[in-house]
Parts: sequence; structure tokens; C-alpha cells
Amino acid sequence: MEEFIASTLRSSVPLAYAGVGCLFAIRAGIFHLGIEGLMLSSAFAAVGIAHETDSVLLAVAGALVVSAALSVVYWATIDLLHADSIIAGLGLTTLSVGGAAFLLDVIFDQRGRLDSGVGLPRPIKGAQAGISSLVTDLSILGWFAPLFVLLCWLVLRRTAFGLRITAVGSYSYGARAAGIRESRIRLHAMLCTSVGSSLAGVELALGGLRAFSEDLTGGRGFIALAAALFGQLNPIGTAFAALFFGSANAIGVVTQIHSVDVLPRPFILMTPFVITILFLTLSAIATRRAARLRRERIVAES
Amino acid sequence: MRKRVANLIWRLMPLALAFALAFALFAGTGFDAAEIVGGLIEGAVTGNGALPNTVRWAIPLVVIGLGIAVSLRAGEFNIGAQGQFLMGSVAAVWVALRWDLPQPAVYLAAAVIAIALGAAWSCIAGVLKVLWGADEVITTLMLNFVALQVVVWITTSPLKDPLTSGDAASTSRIDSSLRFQGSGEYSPELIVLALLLIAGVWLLLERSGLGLALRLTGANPTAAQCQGLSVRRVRLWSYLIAGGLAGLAGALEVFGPAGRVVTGSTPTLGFTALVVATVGSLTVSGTVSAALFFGGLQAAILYLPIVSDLPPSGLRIIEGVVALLITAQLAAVLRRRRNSNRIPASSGEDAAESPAAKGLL
Amino acid sequence: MRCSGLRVRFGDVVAVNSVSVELPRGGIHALIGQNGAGKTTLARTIAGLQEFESGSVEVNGVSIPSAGYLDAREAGVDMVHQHPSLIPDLTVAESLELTDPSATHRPYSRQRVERRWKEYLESHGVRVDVRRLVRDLSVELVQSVEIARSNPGVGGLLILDEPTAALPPSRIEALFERLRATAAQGVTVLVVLHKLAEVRDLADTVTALRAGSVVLDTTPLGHTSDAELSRRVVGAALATPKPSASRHAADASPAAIEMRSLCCKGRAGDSPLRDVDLTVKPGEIVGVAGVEGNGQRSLVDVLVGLEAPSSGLLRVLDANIAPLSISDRRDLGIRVIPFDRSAEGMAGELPLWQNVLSWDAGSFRSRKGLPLVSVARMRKAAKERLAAFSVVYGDIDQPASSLSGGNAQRMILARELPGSKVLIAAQPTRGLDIGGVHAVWGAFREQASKGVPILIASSDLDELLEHTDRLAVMRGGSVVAVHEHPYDVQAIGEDMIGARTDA
Repeated sequence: MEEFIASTLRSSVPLAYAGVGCLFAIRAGIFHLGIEGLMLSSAFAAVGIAHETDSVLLAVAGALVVSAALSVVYWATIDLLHADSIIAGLGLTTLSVGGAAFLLDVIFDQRGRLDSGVGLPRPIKGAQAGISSLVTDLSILGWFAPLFVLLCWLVLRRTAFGLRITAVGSYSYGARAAGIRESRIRLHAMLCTSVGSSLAGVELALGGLRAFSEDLTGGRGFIALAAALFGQLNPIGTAFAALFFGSANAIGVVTQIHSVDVLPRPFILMTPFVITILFLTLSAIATRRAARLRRERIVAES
Repeated sequence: MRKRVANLIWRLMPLALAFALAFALFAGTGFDAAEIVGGLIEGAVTGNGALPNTVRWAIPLVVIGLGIAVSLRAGEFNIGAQGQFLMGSVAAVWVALRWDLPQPAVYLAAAVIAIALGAAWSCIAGVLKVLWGADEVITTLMLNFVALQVVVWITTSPLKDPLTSGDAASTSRIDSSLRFQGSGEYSPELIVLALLLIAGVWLLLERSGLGLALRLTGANPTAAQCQGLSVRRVRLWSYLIAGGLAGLAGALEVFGPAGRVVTGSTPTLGFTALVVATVGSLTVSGTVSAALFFGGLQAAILYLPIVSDLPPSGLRIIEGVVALLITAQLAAVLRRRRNSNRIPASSGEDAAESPAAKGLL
Repeated sequence: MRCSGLRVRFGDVVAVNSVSVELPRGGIHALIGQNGAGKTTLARTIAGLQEFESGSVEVNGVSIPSAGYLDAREAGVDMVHQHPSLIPDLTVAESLELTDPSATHRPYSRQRVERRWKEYLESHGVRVDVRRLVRDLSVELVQSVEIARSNPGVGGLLILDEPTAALPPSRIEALFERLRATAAQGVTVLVVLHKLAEVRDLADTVTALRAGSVVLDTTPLGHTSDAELSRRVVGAALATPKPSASRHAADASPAAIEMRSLCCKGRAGDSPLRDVDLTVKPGEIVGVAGVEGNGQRSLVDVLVGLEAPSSGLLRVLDANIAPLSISDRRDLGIRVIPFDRSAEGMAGELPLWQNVLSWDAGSFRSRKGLPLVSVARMRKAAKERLAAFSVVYGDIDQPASSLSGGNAQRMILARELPGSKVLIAAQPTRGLDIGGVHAVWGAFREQASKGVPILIASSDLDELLEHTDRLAVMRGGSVVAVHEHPYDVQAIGEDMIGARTDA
């Protein structure tokens, strides 16, 4: 049980960062399929820099910069060049996958994998016996995650900036009538998203494994998007959705460790994706229902 | 005519820009751009066995790409071609390895089951979208990952080739008498089949009631509904067609050049096909041309290490930048710039609200 | 406020043509004109929300550049739009906070913000739970909030674009009260209206526009009569309603469209239908008048098949059509001219022939027995249909969006009218020029003379008065009265705003 919870927490942290981060983009009206790519390039940048400098701080900074730069490119293509955000987002992800593999080959002369000498610090050391792996396994980013979620909640729900983001994504006409510069708000929202996805990538690369591999993210960026939708575009809800998807992943990990032979391993590995589909459908049904009830209420009141 | 040429040039601008950017990156990291270009041409066109290889890759791209074009035409962002393709190849390899049937029956059964499984895979997302409004972008993406695990499963347990593992894990090869082609040669059967499919999709899109309904639904679903079309039915058809074509492409891959299913062999074929369909502006002729182009690129990249030491991931970079830029409406942007850009709240709608597929049609 | 030589152009259409208007400081000024006369465009231009080609705008001595809405705001101009501009996904308090220019980047306290706007709204006479999402409010409440929010400050200019369109009569008087109070505080009010009674009730002076030009310049209302105003706005003395030619035999025959106690939830933004009783006989043109949002849309939707009735009787051509799908209804010969030409009536990016005939592709099966359609025959048929309705176009393959408004409407007529047995039309002439309006009504007449029953919902009362055989008035989702010739315009107006029946 303890193992399961520890595994859940570990799997949830990157999902929470990426999921809460992508709320900024989604609330600003952009369905950001480049998250997966941002996570992967951040992970690559972090491991690459850590490999060269052995400095975790520089690694995180580098990851943030790379992710922000790619986000600006994405923003420019959809906002200035009016490209389609979904296809451009998939393009950003493919570019990141290709770019990371390419640079891995060109700079480090490696194929598929790069190890880092250092990793994210773990505030509570597990040297002495008796301390549960629940706390010792968590990296500094894991401990920081609830704070990040609350911070994003504060920004999105309690500042003028957050209101503007929602206004831009929800009702363009009204946003312009309120004097909001939409393009700039979208850029800022995208940069906020880049921070979340970048930290998610760093956690994946330096939190546990201390290594980069080409399939490190494995679709987690897309699951993070689903978590955001499932969390009703609310940071707290998204964080809980991330925990939920994390536990689905943990079931796979734990059953694998104990080689429980109920199901072949691939079927366990596909559960997070299947559950995502199921819950996305349930939340779509719930949303429709809510809209219908709402309309009936307005009608009844008028 | 001149207008058409101008239009074509505008459409190809993002493509050219993407290549320029990718080559700038290659040059910046110490590769000789001229050598790469030479290698690409040699690997795609002039080299020994280059053209058969180009055609070999163009065939799955065109078959899948046409299905995607149908989807996007109907206004549905079905980006699950990769999963539908994989399910098709799983079906085909299962039939070929497990069912003891006479040769024609194997083909027939494999084709029917591959098409059905691909279409069903696609329709999962379609039904969830059409009946309950579940976002098809996420569901089709998730189904891709599920399909990948199905492939992992059949290549590691029931149909496993014991000599392989990891990314190279594969099923056993199907009987060579069932295969249309070895590698490095043209396969007349596949080419004829591809041409038939191209003609079929053209007839469907340009000469059938369903094709007209697909377009009307994609361009304005409300208007389509007011004119008595069943928007739901039309949308479901688009999922069926896209999934069926991708599934069939999976079967062709098994009976053609691949001969088996390998876990990590074509991880981005579905995505490349999406790029092919968008580069081809969702038309049949455009998709065919784009498929030949990207088929050539694929063939050349596999060939490149021989002439240049550019890693195969370079192809992904090119595809990524192309996808990033291909839907950019450069023409529209320049026009807007000329008319100056200070209207804060004029024409009601703008980029942020326009339906995603608008730029493609 | 002063503007001179103002000219605004949308593509080939000149919406406002060398307009010069000067409003004295203070007071309430009405801007009137028919649909498409350029009222909204002029209002938006003054508020800096619209580019102009030439001319100048000055407010309180400050010159406002083309589309300089920030400058306009500085100069004390505030505008209440016809469409609500509050954000549906935010709460009322958040939506209002968003427009506060003094907002900082620091997090705010929700309680403080809610208290602040609750008090503000209450001081302006609007009672609403500010914690509710804007999307959960009725259109009317949203507009009340919106008007309460606008606050140009003393000496400023408040512009309201058709503020009464979505309001019920009881609210209109309250709004006028508030505007009078605002004006009394030294704010100049410019209000776009299109009902003469409202102008008389509210304004001090009136400016009339016709086809983008000023036809009556800031005239005190005492100096002009209703007849004079109507003449200026319409361009000729209001034609006295005359019975149309197609009234033959209508009285004896049974109803072709019959609605009894029809109820329907209706679409968002419009009133649901409550016990609608209405019949249309063969060859009869029946108009549906009413202030927008009183159920006209729901009525059209339920006839077309976009919405299902919740109870009541709905018979067309002796068939109960309530359970029928849209395409079954089309097979019966029910055709529709939808409310919004470009959003519901056509697919702008598709070629003309597809817009005209795609829905009917089944009738153009290729002769070789294959399940294919003959595109050549479809094009030919589309050309014939377009020619029959005098649509001007270059190439049958050009996108429908390239047609002008009048041509686009004629294209829709060319799609819907041939073969129709029942015609439902909504806003058939909105935004059309004289020639376009003529063509539409001419076509309707012709259909009626063939015995087709026609039901027309329009917000243009004048044309309904002129062209219909009977006129139903809708209010609050019900048909409150059906008027017969000769029309009593006064009574119709009163039915629309609810001044008399409930008494």
C-alpha cells in the first residue's frame, strides 16, 4: 500500500505541473498539444546541462529558457501567422522529439539515452531506517508541487491577469470591448504554460531517473491536457485529476514490481489511457448536462 | 490559371520556409547542407533503388493521408491514424499467422478484418464525440497509445518472434508466399491497389452525395443541419472512412514491405500522414503529391547515413517544422498588414474563434 | 461631440458617407434609422472601435484618431454594445473587475471585489447575485448590469447601441429613468433606437441616418412630427398598408400550418414557446412581429425541426410533423430562410453550386447506375436556379462568401423556393438594399400566388405591415394577438411592447 501511494505521488508530480501549467493556455483559448514537446525538450535541456556542468540550478534554468523559447515560437506561429493551433502543437511536439534526438546525437554522440550525474535534491534523506519511502522518494519539486498548484490557482482565480486570460479564451468580443490586448495576454499565458511543462520535464528527468531518454515523456503531456479538462479547468481540480491519473499509472508500476500475473503488462500500461478516455467522456456528459440544467434554470427564472 | 499558380506558391511558402529553417539548423550544427540536399535527391530519386523506396513509403502515406483529408474535410480532428494503422496491421498479421486459409481467403479475411478493426478503433472516438461531445483530439491521441500497447503485447507474447526484443521486438514473419514485395523493389499489386484507392476517395469526395455532405458539414454544420443533412451520420461516416483506410494501410504494410509487425518501426507514420494531408490542402491530388514528396524524404533519410552522417531524427525535425508552419496563412497575414492592424473590436470574429480547420480548406 | 466628413467603408460598401454631426453638451440624443442605415457603425466609430477612412471625430475638444478606442476612453467616451460584452465564464463581479482600469497585478480579495460591485450595482438599481456566472443570467439581466457599469463620468459621452432590443417593456422604462438621471449628472447621452415612441419618450434631439448619410441633423423633437421622422428615415412617406394581391380564397380553405397550444423549450438566448396558437392558410403570407427575443427564433426552430416541441399540436399540410426529422420535413416541402444568412444559411467557403444543391445531391444520380452524382448536371441545375433568381456571379465555382448580402440572400431563395410547399422565413431582408428587399418580397408573392403558405418572422415592422396578409405579434413566447387588415399600427405596437393586453 505504501509503495502504491509513493508511486502514485511520484507519477502525479509531473502530471500536476504540466496539467496545471496548460490551464493557462487552455483558459486563454488554445488547446496546447505542444505540451508533450515542451516537457521533452525541457527534460533534454536539463539533463544535457546537468551532464556538462553538474549543476542542478543551471539545468533547471536552462530547461525553463528552452521551454519559454519554444513557447514563443508556438505563440508566433498561431497568433502572428494564424496557423492552426492543433496541427502546429503536434508539430512543436514532433520538432522537440526530433530536435532532442538530433542534438543528443550531434552534441553528446549518444543514441536514445543520456545520463546525468546529478539529480534534483530530495529534502528528506532516507538514510536512517524507519522513514517511509513516501517522503524520502519525493524530490524538491514534488514538495513544491502543492505550492505551485496554489500559486497558479491564485494567479488564475484571484488576479486581474487571470481574469484577462479567461476573458480572452471565453469571449473574444467581450475581451476586446474591455480593452484587453488579446495577443499579448495569449503570449503571457503561453509563457506560464511553458513554466509548468518545463518543471514537469525536469521532474521526469532529474527527479527519479537522473537520465534522459527519447521516450521519457511517453504521452504524459497529452494525459496532462486530459487532466486539465477533467479538472474542469480549475487548478485544484486538475491537481486531483493528476493524482488520479498518477494512481492509474502506479497500479501498473506496482503490479509490475510484484509481477502480478492478472493481465499481461501492456494491458496494465494502457490503463491510464483507457481511463483518460472514459473520464473525458464522463466529464463531457456532465458538462452537457450542466449546460442543459443551467438553461432550464434561466428559462424558469425569466 | 495564373491565380492557381499564385495560390500554389502561397501554399508552398510555409513548406519552403520550414525547409530553410531545418537546413539552417543542420548547417548550424556543422553539417554540409549541400551534401544533405544531394543525399536527399540521391536517396529519393536518382540513387540505386531510390524510386521504389520512395513509392514504398508514399503508399501508406497516401492511403492514411486520404483518410485524414476526409476527416478534416468533415471538420473532425481525428488524429488517431497511427493507432488505427497499428490495429489494422495487428489484424492482418494475426490472420496471416494464425488462420490456416487458402491464399485468396487470407487476403480477403485480412483486408476485411483490418478495415473493420481500424474503422472500429476510429469510431470509438467518433461515437464518444458525436453522441456525448467528448473531445476527439484527446480521445484519438489516447487511442494511439492504447494501440501501441496492443502492438507491444502481440510482439511480446502471442505472436512473438523469440529472437527480437525492446523496440525491435516483432512478430514472426508472415509466410513469404503471401507477401507482395521484398524491400527495394516495386510491388505492382500495391501500386495498383493504391491507385484504385486514390480513385475511390476522389470519387467519394468529388462525385458522391456523401462527399458533398461531408464538405457542407465541415464548412458549416448549422447550415448543413438546416438543409436536412444528418450531421451526426455524416460525421460518423468520416470516422469510419478514415479508420478503415488507416486499417487497410496497416494490412498493406504487413503483406507488403514489412512482412511482420515491429513495435517501434514506424512510430510517426500517422503523424507524417497528417502533415501530408494538410500540405496537400485536403485535396486528393495535393495529398498524392505530398505523399510522394514525404515518401521520398523518408526513403532518403533512411538512405542518408550512407552519404552524410545526418541522424535519422533530422527527418522528424523537418516534419515538425513543416507541421508547425504549414497551416500558417501567410497570404492572409500580409493582406492584413497592408490594411493596417489597429482595429481592436471590429469584425466580430477573429483567429482565436475561427474553427480550427478553416485555414485548411 | 463633433464629427465631420466621416466616411467608413467595409470592402465595397460605404457604411457611413461624409457624416457631419455635432451634439451639444448634455442632454439625450437619439440616433435613428432603418436596419443597415449605419447607426451602429457611426456609434462605434465615435467610440473609437471602428476605423474610418476620412473625416474627424472630436469629443470635448479632444481629437479621436481612427480606431483609437483608448483615446476615446481618455476623452470620456463609454459605449454599451448591442451584444453583451460581459464574459460568460466569469462571475458578474469578476466581469466587472476586469473592466476596471485601476486593477493591479496583485491578487485581490474575492469578498472585497464582490462587496464592491454588489454595492455599485445596487446603487444603480440593479439587484443581482454578483457571485453567479454571467452565462447563468438572462439576457435582460446581463444588459442591466452592462448599462449600470458604463460610467463615462461627468462631462463624458455615453453611447448606447439599441439598448432596448433585449429588454421587456417594464425594464425599458427603468432604463430610461436611469438614462435621464445620468444625463442630469452632466453626461451627454447618445442612444441608438429604432422605435419612434421610445425616441419621443426619451430623447431631447434626434438625428436620423439613411443609407449612411444624415437626413435629419440633431433636431429638437418638438420641431418634428412622427410623419416627418418616418418620411426621413424611410425615404418616402410610409406606405399605407394595403392588402396584398394574394389574399384570394385564403379564408375558405383549411389551415396549411396549424399550431395549437404549442410549447417548446427553445434555444438559448430566446424565450421558450408558451402555448402558441397560430394558423397559416394556403397562399397566405403571415407575418410574425415582436421585439427580438420574444420567441420568434424558437418558433422558427420548432417549425424547421431544430427544436422538438414539448407539448401541443404541430401540423403542416395535414401531417403531424412533430416527430419528423429535418430531412423528412424537407421531403414534405417545408423550406426555410434561416435567421442568420452567413452563420446558418450558407457555407461561405464552398462553391455556389454546392451551396445551392448539396442537400439535394440524391436527385442528381449519375445515369450509369453507380452510386455517384453527376456534378455536371448539378452545376447546370444550379446555374439555372441562380439565373431564375437573378443572382449576379462570375463563376459557379466561386465561394459563396464572395457574394454581396443581397445576392447571397437570392442564392438562398434559389435553394429554398423551387419545389417548396411551405415556406418559413426569418429576417429575410435584414441588411439588404432596396433592390434586394424587392426581389425577396417579389419571390414570396409569387410563391404565395401558387398557394404556398408563408410564415415570416421579421424585426422590420414596416415591411411586415406592407406585405403580409395577417400579422401575429409575439411577446414572452406566446402569440398575443393576430391582426387583420386594415392594420391598426398603434395597436400592433402596443401588443409588441405589452402596453394593452394585460391591462
